[in-house]
Amino acid sequence: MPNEDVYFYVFIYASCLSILLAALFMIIRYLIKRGRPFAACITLIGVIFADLIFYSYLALPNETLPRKNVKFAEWGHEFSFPKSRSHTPPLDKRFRYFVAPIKNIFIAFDIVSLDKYCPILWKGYRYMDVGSMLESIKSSSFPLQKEIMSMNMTDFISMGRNRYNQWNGYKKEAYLNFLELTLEDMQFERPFYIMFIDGQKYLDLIMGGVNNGYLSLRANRPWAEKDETVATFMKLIQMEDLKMLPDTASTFLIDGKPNPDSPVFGVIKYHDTLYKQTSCFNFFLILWVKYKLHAVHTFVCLKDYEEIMNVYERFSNNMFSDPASKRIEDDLGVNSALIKFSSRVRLGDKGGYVADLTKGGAMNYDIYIEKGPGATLDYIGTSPSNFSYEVKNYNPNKLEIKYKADVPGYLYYADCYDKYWHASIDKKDMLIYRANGAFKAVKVPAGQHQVEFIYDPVFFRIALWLYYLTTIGCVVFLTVGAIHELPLLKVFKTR
Amino acid sequence: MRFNIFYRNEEGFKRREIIFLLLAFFVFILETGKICLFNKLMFCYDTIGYYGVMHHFYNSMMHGVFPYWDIYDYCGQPFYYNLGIARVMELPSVILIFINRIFNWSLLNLYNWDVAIKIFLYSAGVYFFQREMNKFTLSNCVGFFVFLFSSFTLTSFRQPGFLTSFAWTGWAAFFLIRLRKEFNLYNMVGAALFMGLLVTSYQVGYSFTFFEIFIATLLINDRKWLLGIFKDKKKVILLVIGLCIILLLSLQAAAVFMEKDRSAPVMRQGLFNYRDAGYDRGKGGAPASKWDYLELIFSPLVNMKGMPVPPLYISEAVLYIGIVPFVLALLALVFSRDKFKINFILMLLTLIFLSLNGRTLLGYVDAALFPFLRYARNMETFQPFFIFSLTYFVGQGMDLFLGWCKRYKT
Repeated sequence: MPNEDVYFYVFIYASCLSILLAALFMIIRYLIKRGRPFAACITLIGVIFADLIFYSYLALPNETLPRKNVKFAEWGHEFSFPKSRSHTPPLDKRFRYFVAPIKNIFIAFDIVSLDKYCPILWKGYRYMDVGSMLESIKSSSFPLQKEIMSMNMTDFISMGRNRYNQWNGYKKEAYLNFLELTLEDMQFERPFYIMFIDGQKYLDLIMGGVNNGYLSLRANRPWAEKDETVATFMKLIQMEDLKMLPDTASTFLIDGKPNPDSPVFGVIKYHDTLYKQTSCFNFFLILWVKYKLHAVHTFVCLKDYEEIMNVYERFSNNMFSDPASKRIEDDLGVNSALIKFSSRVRLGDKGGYVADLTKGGAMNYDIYIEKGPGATLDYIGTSPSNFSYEVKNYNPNKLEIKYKADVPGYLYYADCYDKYWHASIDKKDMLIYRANGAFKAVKVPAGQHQVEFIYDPVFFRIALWLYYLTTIGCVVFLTVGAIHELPLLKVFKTR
Repeated sequence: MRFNIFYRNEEGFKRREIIFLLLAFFVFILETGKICLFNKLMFCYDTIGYYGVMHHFYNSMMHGVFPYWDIYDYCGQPFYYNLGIARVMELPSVILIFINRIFNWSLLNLYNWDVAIKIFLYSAGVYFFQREMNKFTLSNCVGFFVFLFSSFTLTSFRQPGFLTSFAWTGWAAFFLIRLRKEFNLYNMVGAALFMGLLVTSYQVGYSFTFFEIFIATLLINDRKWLLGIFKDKKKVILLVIGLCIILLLSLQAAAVFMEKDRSAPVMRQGLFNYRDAGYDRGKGGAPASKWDYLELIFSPLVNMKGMPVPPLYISEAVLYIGIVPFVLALLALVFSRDKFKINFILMLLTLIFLSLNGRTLLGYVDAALFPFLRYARNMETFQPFFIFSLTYFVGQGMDLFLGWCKRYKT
């Protein structure tokens, strides 16, 4: 329940408002009775204007952010073909398309909110996004370097709970920053939903950081009460029930299953093994790769790609030794080129690639071609060939490459397959195969040739032209029709 | 130039109305000056989230390529699946891109201006709608001003879902009212154009539900006109022309819709399929809160949106039109004798019911009553429609006030 202060402020507000409205009414009534309706109108409109401008003044800081701490790409760029998926697109790495990843938005948002709401930012430590934190860890400059390299997540969290108050500001911030990046973001793959609050005290603590029920470690309260935060995380790891926050419009799940009748929330464990068997750093790396590949805040992705990502999640417990994960990363071009060439090919049914991956990822082929009209295995080889290519022209709808290969084979393009992609070799149309579950491949002869991929969603393109033509036609009709009979000023008479 | 405050709308459109609109635009730009002119502020939350979409679109268009594909996200996906969300391919955005070839703003500035101009353009429809509903020109100005500077504009700075769902509703309502007065080709083309543009809005269910409710309320006080449309051959032909226009405008949305089975929704990380994300299934989504309506009279609450502060929960859908306009609206609710009063009262009540998750009470009936909302998630998105309906009463209240002034003057 709100405390007594709230009722007092409401009373003051209501009283002042009533007095002001009564005064306004009396002034207007006076002016009208004195035969000055114009002055009365001006007064009324002036008050309306002042009210709304004052509201804008109050609300604008909450609906916008200062730009001072935000860095992202403001200018256009020439189209450039990515060297790999890890290769930064021609935007600033902190801000990619489509709010991707959500961490970047937090950086854009949170750095500023930290400045505004959390003055307890120790000098020298700035909250980091995933990319910056990775660089910091790789350069051994992260304040809790030793701990995250040697401990698993469960031990790391409990260690922090025990040692939190003994740390200096740097370590405290680093600890919370790390936990926040790895635990908090609900849009980070299979989300770690934390939808409950234990007690009023804790509610007060995280009040500033809760949005739609998703917990943020960042709070606009003194850090002294962060013990509660850590304690809650410990409970989360151990699957202890916690009370539901009232009036929170959130969903909840227990062990991954909806349980609307339960009065308590549970938590979806991301990966039990990851928490216990992998070091914090490995866990972080896994999330880093995944967020590059999948945790992108657009509204859709292609189903074939989603299937591969499901396999990737299942097998990426230990990314350093798992062949399935490594295979997927290779096929996606995470750290390798998006254009590859091979004659080690297998032809199979739809879903065969995913099935092979699921068996453990040890495959004796480079490219899996799905059976379909025109899909044949004319070029099969086992020995590697010399292959080189050069990108001649690239834009979002087109890729032209010139390649050189000493044997015929399949040119693989680690870009999702879509039926509206067309390929040609030396201006002759070629069939595009669905390769490796979700991507593209074309059969290419030996020698030096030019391959062109063009994306042309015919139906959408025609529909878009109709859309623009119809819009322009209607606007012209409405404008000319408004002018034609009478001067412009009379257009709004009923015609 | 004498300024007659009792100038009536039926006396014709005056040049000073255009001057007023330009003045309002000027004041609006001053309000957004820190964003658009001085680069001190930026949009936040979802609005800046769509910057990525716009950047890819703007950049490609500046290089003469309409981007159908996006190579960067999810290892490549059709970019046109995401075009409707930010309404990036609409004519105002495209025209702005061509203008930018002269001014060469940064793409971020271009985006800022794009949002600001869209807010103004969409709100301008409210002015002309007010013109059709009110007696006095000054009432239009007040109603429009209240809408433009209401919480609809400011919440659009952070949540473009409100902006892109409301979109051309004001203009469509304007032409629909004109159709009611005179069912001719001009008004039909206007209505069809803006209804068709609405089809590609962010979530068309909200605007179409709004019109569904309005047309349904016409059965109460204007049954004859509504049913008479189908009895007149000329009107039926005009209706068919209108539907053809809407169809042509909707085809590109249909193209995306037809391919929906090729894509997997990743919104909220795959917990929900499209249907489960629907409002009636109860998963996800953000309803309005009953405390949102308190904001109409208690403006400090507007800064607490999205924060669960027991027992209050303020949603993103901030509702504020000003205290005095709200008083004017209340006056109109009681004393107005406009023929559309009952329609808008029912509209307000229905919108309150829907925005507070009321559909869950209707059970199986709701899908029949509100078919356009089957895939809608966030009932708080009715906020701009509620404000739009409320500004109708603001205009009527201003009419009452001016009528009262005129009585004393004479």
